[in-house]
Amino acid sequence: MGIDVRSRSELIRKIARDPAPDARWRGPLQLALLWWFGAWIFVVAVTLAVQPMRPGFGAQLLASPRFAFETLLGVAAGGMAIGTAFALGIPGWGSTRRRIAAAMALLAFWIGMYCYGLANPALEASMLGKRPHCFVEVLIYGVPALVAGLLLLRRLAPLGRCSAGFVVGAAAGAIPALLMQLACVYIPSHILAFHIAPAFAVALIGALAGRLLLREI
Amino acid sequence: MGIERERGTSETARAEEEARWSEWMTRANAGDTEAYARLLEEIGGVMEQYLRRRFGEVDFVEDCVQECLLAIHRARTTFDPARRFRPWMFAIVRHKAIDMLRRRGTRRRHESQEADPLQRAAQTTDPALALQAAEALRGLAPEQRDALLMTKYCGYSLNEAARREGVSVTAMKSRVHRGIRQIKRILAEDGD
Repeated sequence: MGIDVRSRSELIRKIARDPAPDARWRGPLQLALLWWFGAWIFVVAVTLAVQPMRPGFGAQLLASPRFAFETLLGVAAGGMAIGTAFALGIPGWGSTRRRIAAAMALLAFWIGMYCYGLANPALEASMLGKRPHCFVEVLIYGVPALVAGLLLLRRLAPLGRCSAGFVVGAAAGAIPALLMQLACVYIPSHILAFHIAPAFAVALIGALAGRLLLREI
Repeated sequence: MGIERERGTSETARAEEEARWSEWMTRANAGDTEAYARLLEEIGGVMEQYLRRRFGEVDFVEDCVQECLLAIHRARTTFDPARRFRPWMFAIVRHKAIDMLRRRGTRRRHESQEADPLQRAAQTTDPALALQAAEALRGLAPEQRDALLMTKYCGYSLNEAARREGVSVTAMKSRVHRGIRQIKRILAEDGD
């Protein structure tokens, strides 16, 4: 807004005359759910278009409670991250630090399961389902989801643009990373290096992109 | 008993203020320009009092109030009538105040590269007076407080302030950065 004013009264007079904003689709929960479903549909569609899922992943989910728990934990961590990102869009809605810390703690717990799996994997290591470019896939599926998330978050007013962008990026990267758990090989060291690492890169891109794409309040 | 009655009265006044601001903001978001103007006038005064108590009688308070009003305007669609107005408003005010404090030294340096630092200091508010009034500054360690007073209140560059204190520019930068972080923590503890 290019306002050239000399006094507070003049400023108030000018901005009070601005038309009332469009109130549709401004709820943080609405926006988070819209993004969540849209991002999952997009990532699943492009993943399947490139290569089918790993054969037998469904039976593995049923046969191994720890594998199922890892998968559900990833879903919960991504969901909490995007919920947090949109909650950050409402100034004064609880403690920003605590929200981000809780979301990051759940993501760290999910990643920690794979670190534990280095010594004690949930499934027997196998090259079945290997995708030759899974690292790149996580990056290129995560970035459009990140951009969509930031464009939706522009409808709100996050005060910390970098931190909000980082959290959106973490959620956007987590979805393809988690899907690769079912679509690509299950080897914890491979998962950490080729699925989780690019997801973290998407989060870092989110921190930079947040500064550019989110409105300064 | 008198103190309790006074507290009760002030709590009642706050509750009425809260309800009034919430109603005006809701009406403003529905297109009522008069309610919006009244709200901005009233909260502008409250913001000014808050900022003067925290930062002292300094020239950038009015700029800060206007930036806060603009920020409230940009963020107005995020106000939820089901939640309290004060936490929402003060989250924005604290954010803008810290943002302005961070940016302040840089802008003043560009504006007056040529002027002698002592001359510039004489033209601004007496730092001693500013310190008396500024609650936020009183919560800082002496070296951080001096660093902020010199760079943000008196307009010294980092080089000039470092030379005066006999420390490196990196050390001065670190004091300013830690001072601002501490002020952010102090303001956050304010609540609403």
